[in-house]
Amino acid sequence: MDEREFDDFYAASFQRITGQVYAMIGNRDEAQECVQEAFVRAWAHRRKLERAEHPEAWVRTTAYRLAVSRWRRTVRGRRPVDRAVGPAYESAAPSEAHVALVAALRQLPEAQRQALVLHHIADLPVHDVAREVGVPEGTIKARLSRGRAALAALLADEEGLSHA
Amino acid sequence: MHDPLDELENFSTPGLTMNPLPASEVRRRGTRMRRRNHALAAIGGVAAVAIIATPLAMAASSNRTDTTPPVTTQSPSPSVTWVQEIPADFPLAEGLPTPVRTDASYESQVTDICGGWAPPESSDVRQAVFTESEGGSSHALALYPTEGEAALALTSLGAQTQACAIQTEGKQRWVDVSPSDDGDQSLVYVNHYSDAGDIDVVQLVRVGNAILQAQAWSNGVPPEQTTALVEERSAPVIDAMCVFSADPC
Repeated sequence: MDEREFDDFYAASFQRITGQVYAMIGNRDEAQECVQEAFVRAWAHRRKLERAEHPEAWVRTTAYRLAVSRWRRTVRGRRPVDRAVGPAYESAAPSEAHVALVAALRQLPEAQRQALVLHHIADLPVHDVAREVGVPEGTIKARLSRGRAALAALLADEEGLSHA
Repeated sequence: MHDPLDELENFSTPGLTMNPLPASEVRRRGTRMRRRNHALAAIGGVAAVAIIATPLAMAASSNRTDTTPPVTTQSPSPSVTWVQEIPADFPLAEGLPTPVRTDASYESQVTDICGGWAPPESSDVRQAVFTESEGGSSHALALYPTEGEAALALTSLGAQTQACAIQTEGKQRWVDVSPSDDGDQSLVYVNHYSDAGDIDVVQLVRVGNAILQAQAWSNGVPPEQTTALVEERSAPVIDAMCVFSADPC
């Protein structure tokens, strides 16, 4: 992957991947930082990236793993200074429905949330989700089914509360 | 009531005004990261060459006739000399949280359901272990006489683990094998070994004649998350293992 190809790949996929990682972890700033760091690693390991069948999946997986790793360090209270943080950006207030959805996603078990995001937001077929997560297709189908049911219940609760 | 599928499929990132680093800056940081990794590995490589070259030179100059095996071992290809001593400054503990205990011997930290990896006898081995109250993690590195012997050991273990994973399906203690493509050859598997949800994730990666065993145990954490943690922690070590490859960095 030469410089121009990388730059095109970065420009085309940064926002999309950040949105997906945000849906997985529920924190926009953290998602952007992790995706940024994942692209730095992508360039550092570009030969590996070239061999990857789906470079976007490689970056998304790396960003997600970074987020998980950072979360664990944060929990232990020893999170180091971020190595790849872009300039501050402004964010408008999200809608109520959006906040409810992100909050509901965060309440789901991590495996169900990951499956829902990859299938419904990243628009990957079940087969590709299974390959990216590294589990059988049947497992992904089960996670999707349980995740959808749980999400519906959580959003219904939320709606009930807001109308009460 | 909202349809959760509609909500998901129309998921957008409102207010997420992206202002990422310019691509040129991302590349610059990536190049710096790559150089740093290579420099770290190169320091290890120089130390390895010194360690190997010194006794060989001494042996040559003293015209010794004893039968002590040489420090290095030739592979079938006469042009490749496999490093037989782990450089003193090899960053084995890189990626592990502190404090780490480092030893020049191997003690298994893994609850292996199917029997697992152990370093070959009389090989150079090093182990770095981190322990915490709700989990632990370790890296162990061993050198084989040749790349072929290391490859054979890992291939055998892979076959044994795959067979075991099939045999343990549906049982109370079971093993899952995950896809992996790190280094020259790799294997990742999860031991589910207790009713309480304890798991031991093991990653084995070969580069040249070296095999790294990275491991973590956890309780109540999804296996995917623990696997991601093991791979994240071992990544800088695997990068530095290029000093053991046929074409060292």
